[in-house]
Amino acid sequence: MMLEKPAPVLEIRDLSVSVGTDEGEARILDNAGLALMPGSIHGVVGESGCGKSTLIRAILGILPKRGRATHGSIMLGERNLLGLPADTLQKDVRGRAIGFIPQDPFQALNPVFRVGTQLLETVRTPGDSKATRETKKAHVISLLKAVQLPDAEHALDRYPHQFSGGQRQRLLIAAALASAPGIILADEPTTALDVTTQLQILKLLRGLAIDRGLSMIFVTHDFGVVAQLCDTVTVMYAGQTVESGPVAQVLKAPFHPYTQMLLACHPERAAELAGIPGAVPSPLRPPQGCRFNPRCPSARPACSAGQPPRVAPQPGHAVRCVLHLDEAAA
Amino acid sequence: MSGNDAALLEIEDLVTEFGGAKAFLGKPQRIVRAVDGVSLQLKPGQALGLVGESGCGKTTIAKTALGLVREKSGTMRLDGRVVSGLAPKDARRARATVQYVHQDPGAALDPWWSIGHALDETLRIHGVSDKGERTTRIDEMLRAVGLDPTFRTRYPHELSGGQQRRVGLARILVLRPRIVILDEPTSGLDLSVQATVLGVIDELRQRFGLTYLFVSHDLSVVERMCEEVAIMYLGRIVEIGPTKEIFARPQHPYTRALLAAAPRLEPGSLNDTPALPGDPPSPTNLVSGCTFRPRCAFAAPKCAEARPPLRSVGERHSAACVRLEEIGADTPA
Repeated sequence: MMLEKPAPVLEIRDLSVSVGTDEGEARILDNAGLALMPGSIHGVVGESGCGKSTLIRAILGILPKRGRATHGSIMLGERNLLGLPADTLQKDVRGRAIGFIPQDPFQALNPVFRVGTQLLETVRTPGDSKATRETKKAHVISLLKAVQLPDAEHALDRYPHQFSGGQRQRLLIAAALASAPGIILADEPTTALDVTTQLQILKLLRGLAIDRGLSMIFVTHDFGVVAQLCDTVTVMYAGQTVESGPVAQVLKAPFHPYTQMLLACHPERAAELAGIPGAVPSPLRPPQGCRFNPRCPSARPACSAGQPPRVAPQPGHAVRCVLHLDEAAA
Repeated sequence: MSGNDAALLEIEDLVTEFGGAKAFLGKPQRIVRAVDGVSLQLKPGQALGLVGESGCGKTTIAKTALGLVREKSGTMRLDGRVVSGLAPKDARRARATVQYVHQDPGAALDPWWSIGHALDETLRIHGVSDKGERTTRIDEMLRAVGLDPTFRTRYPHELSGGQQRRVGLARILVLRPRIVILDEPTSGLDLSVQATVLGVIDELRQRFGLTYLFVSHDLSVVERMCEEVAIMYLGRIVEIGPTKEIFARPQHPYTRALLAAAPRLEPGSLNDTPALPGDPPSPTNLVSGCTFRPRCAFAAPKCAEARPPLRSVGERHSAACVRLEEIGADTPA
C-alpha cells in the first residue's frame, strides 16, 4: 500500500489497550492502526468514548491508571515507543520529538503563576541543556511571536486570566513547539473556542506545519474541522479504527457503514434527522468481531467471526469491513 | 387569541444590564449592557434561531424573555398583552406560557429523584392537583419524546446524554407551553445522538404546534432547524431574516465572517477563508458606533459616528451596517 510512498514518521500497528476496572478488563483500543505521513495533518475523528484520545495518549505513554498496551507497536522511525523505559520516553519523546497540545486552554495553565514562570519551566531549549534564563526567555518570546500572540514581549509577565481563550491556546501551542519537535499531537485544541477564534487557530496550525515541516495528528469530533484542516483522516468506533484515507475521499465516498451513517447524521447532509439506532457498546463487553455489527444494517454472520482485515479498495483509502473484502487486497 | 399573522411574542428595543451594584466594601461593579436594544418577533409555529459567539447576549435574551432576568428598558408583548416592566415574580407568572429547556438537562435534573418524580413535581408546582391526570400527562409526554413510560422509575444517572435531553424536553412540554426556548439543545452531544434529538425537537413542534426560540452557536444546526435567524454580536442583532436568505446572501460583515468560519463538510477551504483578526472586545469597554468596527475589514470613519440601525435589505431581511451599499454583496468578508 505504501510501496512508492515515503515511510510514515509515526505508525501505530494493531494497538490494543486494556484498562483494569472494578468490573473487569475494558479493552478500550482494539487492534487500532494509524500511519502519520511526513508533513501531513492527520485527523482522528469519532464520537465520545471511541478511544481517540487514548490513541494519542498511548503514543506519549500517558495511559490511564491500570491501563496497559496488550498488543501491537507504536513506531517512531525505527523505535518502538511501547518498549521504551519511562525515563527514556520522558527524555527523548515527550515534549522533545513529539509535542502535545491539550484540549482545554482554561485548565492547562495554572492560574496562580505568571505565564513566563510556567512556560520557562517546561521549555527545554533544543541542543542546549544548560541554557541561561535569558536565552530561554528569548527563545520563548520568539515562539510567542511565531504563534502570533499580541504583545509577545510582555506576555511572560502576565497571568493566564489576562489572556482570552484563543490567546491561551496560542500559549499552549508555543509550549508544544518549544523543543522543535517534528510531530505535534493535538487533542481537540479548538473545541472550547468560538468558530471565528477556531478558524484563527486552525490557520495558525496549518501555517506552522508548513513553515516548520511538522507532521500533526489532530483529534476532533467535528467532521467540519477535519474538512477544513486535515489531509488524511482515521475514523474510529468503539476502540477500533474502521476507516482511513484522504479527507476528500472519506467525506465524499466513505466505505464503512459507520462512517456513512455518521456523516448522514450531519445537519448539512441528513435527509431526515434520525440518528444511528442503538448505542455504543461498553468496552467491558464489546461485541465480537467488528464492534459496529450490532448496529449495522448490512451486518452478516462473518461480521462477528472476527475483526475484518484492513483492505484498500482505493489507493490510500482503507477500510476494515467484510463488505469490501473482495474489492482489493491489503 | 390573535390572528395568524400577529406575533405571539414581540420584543421591542430590549435592554438588559448587569452590574452597577456596589459590592461590599468595594467599588461599584462596572455596568455590562448584555442586551442592547434588541427587537424581534416570534410568529406562531415559527422557529427563530438566535446565533452568536459566547458572550454575545443570546442566553440573556432568553432569560429576559422568560422573566428570570429583569429588563432595564424595552417592551415585551405576549399575545398582544404587555408583560414587561413587572417585578420578576409577577413577570414569570405573566409569562408562564413561555418555557425554557436548559442547556444541560443532565445537570438540571436532581440525581436523587426519579424521572417520574421530577416530572410530577413540575406539574404539581404548576397547579395540576389531580394525581391521575398528572400520571396520564407524564406517560403521554414520555411517549411523545420517544421514551417508554417505564422511564418514570429511572434515575438521571441511568440515562444516556440523548435520553436526558428527551427528559428535559418532556419536563417542559408537560406544562403545555406555547413558546419553548431551547438553549443550546445539542451542545455536548455526539453527531449521531444530536440527529436523534433534533428529530424529536422537530416532531414535537409539528405535533404540538410549538413556537421555538432556538439559541445556538452551531450554524449548521440552526440552518437545518429554523426558518428565521438573528445573528448577534455584543448584545445587538446585526442581521435578521429568513435563514435561507441569510445563509445564501449574508450582508453584514460579521455574518459573512461567521458563516465563512463555520466548519463545513467541504474539504480544503482553510486557505481561502480570511480569519477575523483579534478577539471580541470586553462588553464593559465598547467602542462608539458599530461595535464590530475594530475587527471589520470594511471599517470606515463613519462607522464610529453612531450605532448603525437595522436597515431592510430584502423581504423581511435587515442588517445593521452603514456601508452595505459600498461593500457590495459579492465581496468576500
